[in-house]
Amino acid sequence: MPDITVAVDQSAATTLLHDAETALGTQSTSGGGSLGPFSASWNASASFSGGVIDLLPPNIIQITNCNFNYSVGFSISVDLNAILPSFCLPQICIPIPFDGSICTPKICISWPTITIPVSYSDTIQFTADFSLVAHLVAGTWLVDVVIDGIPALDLTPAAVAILAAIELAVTPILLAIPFIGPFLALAVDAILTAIGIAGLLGVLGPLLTPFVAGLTFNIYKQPQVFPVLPNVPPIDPEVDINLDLIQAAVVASDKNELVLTANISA
Amino acid sequence: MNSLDSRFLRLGDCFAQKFSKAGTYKYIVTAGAGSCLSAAEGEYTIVVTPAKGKEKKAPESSQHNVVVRVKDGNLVAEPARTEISMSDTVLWHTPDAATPGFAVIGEGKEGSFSSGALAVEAVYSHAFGSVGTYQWVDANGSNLRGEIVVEEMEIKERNDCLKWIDTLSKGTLIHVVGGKAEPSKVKILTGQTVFWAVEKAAGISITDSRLLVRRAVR
Repeated sequence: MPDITVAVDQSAATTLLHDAETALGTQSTSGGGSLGPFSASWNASASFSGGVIDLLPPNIIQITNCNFNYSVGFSISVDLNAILPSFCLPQICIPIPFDGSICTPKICISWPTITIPVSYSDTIQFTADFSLVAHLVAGTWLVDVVIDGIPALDLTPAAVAILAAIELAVTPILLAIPFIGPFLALAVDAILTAIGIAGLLGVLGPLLTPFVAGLTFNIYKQPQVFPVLPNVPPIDPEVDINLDLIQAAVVASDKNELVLTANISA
Repeated sequence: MNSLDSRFLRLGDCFAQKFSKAGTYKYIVTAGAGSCLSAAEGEYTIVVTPAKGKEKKAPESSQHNVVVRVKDGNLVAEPARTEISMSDTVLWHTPDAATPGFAVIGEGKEGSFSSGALAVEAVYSHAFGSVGTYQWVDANGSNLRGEIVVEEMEIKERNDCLKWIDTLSKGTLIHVVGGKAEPSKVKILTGQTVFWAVEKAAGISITDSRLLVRRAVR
């Protein structure tokens, strides 16, 4: 028989979830590597909001329509020499009024390496099953809701949108490059084709999945030892209470509840 | 960078000077505006020998190219010494986009020359890399001016591309004599080159007017 029992219903558990989402805040990561044939650096940040808890005995907490809010930024480095043909202005000879003629040398253009900055933000809703985990960490009892498995995130719409954003971003950058005009459409097509939806998905998946893999919301936190003050101070002294054990479970009753039990000692 | 400015020559620009008088000319290549620098102690030399025989002028004038590039952090001209015959032309250019804008400034007992102050029998050429309307002016203060309209050729298929490349070998000449430049307005395609042949002028530059806006505002 536990010394303390606390129970919350689905509505209160949902409130705890939203508080936990706020406490988790915004997480971020960054990295770099290949994006198609190009090199790129990227960063991502993510937070969670919303969602409704369904308590499913014996130990499943299902969160429905949880919002995964994320932003990603890419800085893509494109060596145009890799995708555009080599190009030279031919020698030009022209008669000059005070000289026979003058000839310019053949001038070969070395295409520059451009950097394309792209950012994109979106929200994906997901539904996933979570488990309750009560554990003692460095003198503090934590009750966490930990995701089971990895929810499927449909990143294809994001990849399509990012590809469109790359097209929008790259065009003015290319327009500023001398002599590229006639090759502009070719360059844009080559860049978009080389990166492709698959290329973006290959980066977005590993970049964003870690935010939800192992996702943990802390819904309860209590120091293992804490003081309890008497009702009438002069009579009883302050007493340190020790939380020997905390357990959490989803319990079926007239309505499903999230139940925390604690054993204590003085 | 593909700016129109004879004071700062870059990839796509050429400056040529015809040497009609024999003598030794010293010159410098400088990344600064450089118009106030003395070229008398310049490290580069052009030796112009008189025409042989009875004729004062060589039967056919020749062109000699000098390449300007950055070596070990310094602007250098190669060859450092150029020997030519009277009435020959020397043309300076850079083949490297990394070369900063530079000016060629020279002088000898028989006269001086400068890419930033085109005076006598000098040529400046510029390949236009971007679409737009370019109002060119003389940054040195004369009223010389003109307009270059650069249009894009629509390329839909390979033949269009070949046609465009074919147009690149055709230059357009603007003849400058005194205070007059003819034609005052030309229309070209992207990548084509315009030549300003300055037969006689009071030391002019060919400069995109937009590059002078900041100075005008101050």
